Amino acid sequence: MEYVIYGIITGCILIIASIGFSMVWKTENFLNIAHGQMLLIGAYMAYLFKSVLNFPFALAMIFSVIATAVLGLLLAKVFYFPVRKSGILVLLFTSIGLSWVIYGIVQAIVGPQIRTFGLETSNMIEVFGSQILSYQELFIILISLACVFVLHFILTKTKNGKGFRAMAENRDLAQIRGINSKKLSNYVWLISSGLAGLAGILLAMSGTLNMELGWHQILIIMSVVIVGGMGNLYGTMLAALIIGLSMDVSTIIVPTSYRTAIAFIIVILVLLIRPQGLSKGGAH
Amino acid sequence: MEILVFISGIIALGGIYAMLAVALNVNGGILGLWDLGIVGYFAVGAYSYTLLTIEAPEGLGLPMIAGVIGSVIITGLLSLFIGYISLRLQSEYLLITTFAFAEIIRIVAGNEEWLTNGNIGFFGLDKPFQEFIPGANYMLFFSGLVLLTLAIFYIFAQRLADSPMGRYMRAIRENEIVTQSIGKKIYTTKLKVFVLSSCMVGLVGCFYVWYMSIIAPNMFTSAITFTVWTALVLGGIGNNRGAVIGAFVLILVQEATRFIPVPAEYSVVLAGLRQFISGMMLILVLRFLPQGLIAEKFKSVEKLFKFHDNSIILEPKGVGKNAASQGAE
Repeated sequence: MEYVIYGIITGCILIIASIGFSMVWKTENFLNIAHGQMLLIGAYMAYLFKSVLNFPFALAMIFSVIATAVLGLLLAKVFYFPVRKSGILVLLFTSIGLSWVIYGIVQAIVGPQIRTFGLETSNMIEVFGSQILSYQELFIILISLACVFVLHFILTKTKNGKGFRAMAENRDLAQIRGINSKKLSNYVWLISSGLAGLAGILLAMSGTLNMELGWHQILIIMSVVIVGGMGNLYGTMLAALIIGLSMDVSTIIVPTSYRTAIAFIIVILVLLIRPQGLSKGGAH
Repeated sequence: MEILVFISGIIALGGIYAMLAVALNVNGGILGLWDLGIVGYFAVGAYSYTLLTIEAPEGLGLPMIAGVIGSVIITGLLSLFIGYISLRLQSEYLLITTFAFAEIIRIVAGNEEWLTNGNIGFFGLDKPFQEFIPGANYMLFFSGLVLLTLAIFYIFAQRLADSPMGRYMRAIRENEIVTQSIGKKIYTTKLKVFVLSSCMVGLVGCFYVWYMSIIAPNMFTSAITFTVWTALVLGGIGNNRGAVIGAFVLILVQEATRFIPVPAEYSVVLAGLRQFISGMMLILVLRFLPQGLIAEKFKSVEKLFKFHDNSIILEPKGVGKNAASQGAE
């Protein structure tokens, strides 16, 4: 039972981490490898605010999410927008280069030590006489549910959200219909980086904070997004839960260190059966 | 003397990466497969060599040459399996699948202790001709051996690129559907080239083991894949000379920062700086030289058959040449 809970928590964090990646893939048509490093930036920003500047944790979290979002947009403007015309391969490699740049800078600043936020361990919640999850874990689940609902609302009810969906289907056509694709893609980068920062913080909350966080997570994020189908947001959410659950539930049978391998095996199996992912994400 | 050993060490490492880049150029550059699994075949080559040659309880204790041949064969068989499964997929989907296989290989190497000795790995491994060459000069000899093999790799890849097979590979890269429509077998060709390239990488795995004289799973992280791709992009995708130059430039820049004298507490900053420089180089080259340091060049068909000497073509020479070379691009 506790494995299922762990799985759901992992899945929830994965949802937040992969939605942004998926949105960028859908609108800009490239795999943004540097997305993993935005998780790293978010987590260390929160560490900076919480443990160095002694902000309360909630405030530290809000500040670092905003800071990561703005930084993500700036990085996109400086590095990605100028090479947009050169094609997706150039964008893909630029994002790999940017990952190295971010990784190098963060490493130079913080060094190799493993850190934690130093949050006191919270009480367990008792349900039917058995302790199943802590308030921290409940908080993670609630936050990701809130993100999913807010995002769903934005995408289906607001003008910008509808514009985003139109732009994702066909950028040129959307532009002809008077959708301001420049403004919208700024929003996409803001939301995507902000969510990445949030996911990084939640991840560091449930574990520790180390330099390899970005590289590890980007692999799993890519698996989730591929399984979910290209740029399909709801497929991505489903896939995040499936992969999160199977990664943690599988530890009952196989050694824990094979946890990530399970995610990759799922990806390979899914691609063999359905080369375009779980949901119909639209062909190239 | 010490500086000579140091330089030959850089040359050996650069040569190893250059060989990887040439092998990657065969399937990633010329054929245009988005293969992010190169470190997987590298690891398989290195591990199978080690397990074949190391003494009894852990390995089979075979002679070195048998180990090299065996590692190439094992890598080839494994990549045949991986390629058979994944080559039906396109671009991003192929990329993530090959990536996934490489990660699985690394995780297996770290966990199956009965086979690979887990995260500790093996150390103190033998190097070729070690007994004939005194310790101080060994690195010098080894860098020569690496350069010799690199030359063979380069000539082989160059011959392949200029052959009909090479043109056919480029045709697949540029437009798969058109190539299929003129009656070429896409999937079989991809599989052949994929296995060939992986065998080359497997062979380089042996050199890596000799260079490091240890083997452990954390030597085979995805950072190697990214480094090799970076080298290839820097030098120019699709160009063997570019692959070699890109690899040497990248390794040189990364290793040159070790010369900067800094107090020990700044070594972390320097390590970060090294990543930063590699990343910045990649970004800048892509921005200002999207073709890489050396753009892809290949002999066009009319040059190969010396059409312009016989001047069968009715158009004026210049126009005919342009039209033909445009067709070839």
